[in-house]
Amino acid sequence: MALGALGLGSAWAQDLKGALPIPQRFNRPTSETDEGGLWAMMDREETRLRRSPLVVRDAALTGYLRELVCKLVGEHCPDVRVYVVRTPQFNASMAPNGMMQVWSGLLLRVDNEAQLVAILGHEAGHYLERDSLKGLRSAKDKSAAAMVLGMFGLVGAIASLGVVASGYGFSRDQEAQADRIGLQLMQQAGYDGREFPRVWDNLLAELKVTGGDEAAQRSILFATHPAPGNRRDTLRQMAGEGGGRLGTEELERVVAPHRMEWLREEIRRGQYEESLELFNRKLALRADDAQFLYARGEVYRLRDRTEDLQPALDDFQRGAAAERPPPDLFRSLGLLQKRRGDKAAAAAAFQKYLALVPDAGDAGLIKTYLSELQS
Amino acid sequence: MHRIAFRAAFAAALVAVSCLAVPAVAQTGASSRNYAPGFSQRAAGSRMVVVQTDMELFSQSAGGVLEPRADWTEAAQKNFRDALMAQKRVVGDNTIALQEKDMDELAQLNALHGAVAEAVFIHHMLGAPALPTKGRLLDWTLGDAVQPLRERTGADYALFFWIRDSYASAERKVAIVAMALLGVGLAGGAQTGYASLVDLRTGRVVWFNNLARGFGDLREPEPARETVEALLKSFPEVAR
Amino acid sequence: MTRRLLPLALALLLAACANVSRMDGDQVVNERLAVHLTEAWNKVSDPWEVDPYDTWTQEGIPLDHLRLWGGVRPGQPLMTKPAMFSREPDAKERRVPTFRAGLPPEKLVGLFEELYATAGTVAITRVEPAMFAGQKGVRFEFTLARRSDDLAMQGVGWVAVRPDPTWGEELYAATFVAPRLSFYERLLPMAEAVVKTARVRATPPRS
Repeated sequence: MALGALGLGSAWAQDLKGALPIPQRFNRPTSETDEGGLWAMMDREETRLRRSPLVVRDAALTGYLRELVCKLVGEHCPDVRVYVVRTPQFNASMAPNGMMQVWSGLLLRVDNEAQLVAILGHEAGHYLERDSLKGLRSAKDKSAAAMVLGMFGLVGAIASLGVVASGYGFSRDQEAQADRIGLQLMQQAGYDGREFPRVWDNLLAELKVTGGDEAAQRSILFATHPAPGNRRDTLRQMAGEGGGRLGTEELERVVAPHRMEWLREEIRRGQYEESLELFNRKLALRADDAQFLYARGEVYRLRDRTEDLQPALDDFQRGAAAERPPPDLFRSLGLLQKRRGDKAAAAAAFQKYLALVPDAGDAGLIKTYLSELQS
Repeated sequence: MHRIAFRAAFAAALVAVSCLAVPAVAQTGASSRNYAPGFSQRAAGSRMVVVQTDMELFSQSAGGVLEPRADWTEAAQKNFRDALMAQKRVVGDNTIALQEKDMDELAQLNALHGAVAEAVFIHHMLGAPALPTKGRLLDWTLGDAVQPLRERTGADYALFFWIRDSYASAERKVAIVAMALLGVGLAGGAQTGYASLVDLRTGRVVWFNNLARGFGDLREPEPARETVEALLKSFPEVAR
Repeated sequence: MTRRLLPLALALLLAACANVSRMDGDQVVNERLAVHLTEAWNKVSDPWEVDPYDTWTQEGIPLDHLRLWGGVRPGQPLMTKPAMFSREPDAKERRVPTFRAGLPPEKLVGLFEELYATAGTVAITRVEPAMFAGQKGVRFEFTLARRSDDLAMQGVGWVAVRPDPTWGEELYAATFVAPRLSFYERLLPMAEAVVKTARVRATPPRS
């Protein structure tokens, strides 16, 4: 791959289009070889993943993602399998056997198709460069092999590793290379390359809220993909003037049926400051998004500091007036008004909630509150 | 992959070892331990389905860490399968194997059986601790959860296996502590596992046997045959 | 599955230290919550005596449990810190659910949601007012996808708060969890039979 040195600025950025030679499709090694044994291990991880209740089984969503990846990897398409895993963290990975995982936390956070394609392209870059396999080639170092493969495990497996500061993922050079490839692939596919550095920016901002200097360690993504500080700057430089598709509507359409559920899971994390950073960013992009207004209001309500009550109320009221407010909003508004002592407003909100979802799981409880308020 | 998880287990083991009492459980005890009350033979003309063995082989590095060895596991799976098929009195002529792809839809049933087998292993076979309400009987059932498996295969019984096996020339601390619980000496390798027979008409676990020993090598065909034989000792015949 | 060497080994280790005794007739939890058993249960005694609840089981530790809390005071945790191997990467400040005075019912339920979230993915599916231990409280239902083996569990809980002259408030609760397939339905009536008999026991006079 003759990319030459970095830092050539916009002239080089122009040359990126159409210049990326994608390697030929890989042959799967036979099982008698050492490498074959490792593929067997990966296949078993994939089998477990496939059967896990955490996998989102939505053909439209999975098909959409797979199409995007196929656009990027050309003839490797038949080797690619995509799994969406319901986990409220930003992460994506592509195992050497073509198994790609995208976590719901990532799909919630990216603003448009371009940002999504940036990450998919980055992971495809690792795959095309066979970065993990280079580490696995040495038959002597089985523990390293197991660790590398652990990167592609389910969140439970990774969680049990206590993944922090082990940095066993890819090297800095491999990361830089994957960034370059990711950028090229997305630009070749017609997307705006400037969205790539924006993804890292957004993620780091969210993590820095509580993590400070250890921000990088609070994300599984950064634990397995060490993020040297200059990666974003390098990407900015490479992206040059930008221009190209964003694809905001396409992504929204596919994510729409799931977004409320993923928002609830994000709220459930209980990491209020990080969630607020995310919701603030989203609402800056679109101020009248009823679901994000609910989410931010709910986080304020749950955090429950004295200075949180008013912002929560503001968000709920704006959300209620916006297009298609989620029913959850009225329940939370009712609970908030009850907390503030505004009985009439609380009753009105509870009534609205029960009218929208008469067979809600907590209808019994809300009805009790309603009769208490009305007596 | 599970490095820190195993270190934690080891640490817990060191703490726990002081409150261990070696359970008074004979490995070659009366066969009534292996049989559910009222069960002695498989029904005449019955069909059995063998679920793919849940098997994992580990090597132990110098640092005392158990690491999964996919290449060993693959060899062991093959040896185990061959050895099992050679056990004619077990396999007979009306036994089928469940296909890998069928497992996708039966994943929850498999997970349920795993939890039941774990309960039988700890509370009944090891009696560490025993459940007083069970009255020392093998009395567990999966109930109607087994229906989908019965419908899919037309089988009357399902045979499950679970093996965890570690091989290391030197330190084997985690396995050592675990084996101490099972009343097994420390030399050689460490093999632990179970075989479980479930009646698909009722969901009951009708036969169960476990293995805990300091030797055995599933990586080679001959010793693998020996492991299978030990596991399937007392396996119920088909009635004539 | 690979991961299940760990739970089994640990279950073995902890179980070997655990004491199980047969329970029937009248029983008292934490000297404050009295129940009456018509059918026998197995009580699992925590070897280090640290859990603030009693654990009973019918089919065994890997399968089902009935947990009972009696007279929990404000500031006391509902569980001890979860073991380190089950901690998630973003759980640097993993909060342990702790009872506080003045919590509305949905926040009380939230405490149990937090508690079970350490074992896997929890979703509360139902909340409705109910009596527990002779106090007005709530009954809630939930699902739990157990992280250790992906087994789908189903659960039900009861929680009530009782005003107390000394401590302000006291919490009483029970939860029952079992595999969704076959076990939950089968065992639920037994758990409910116990819970129905729950009563607060008056504080014995102190000397």
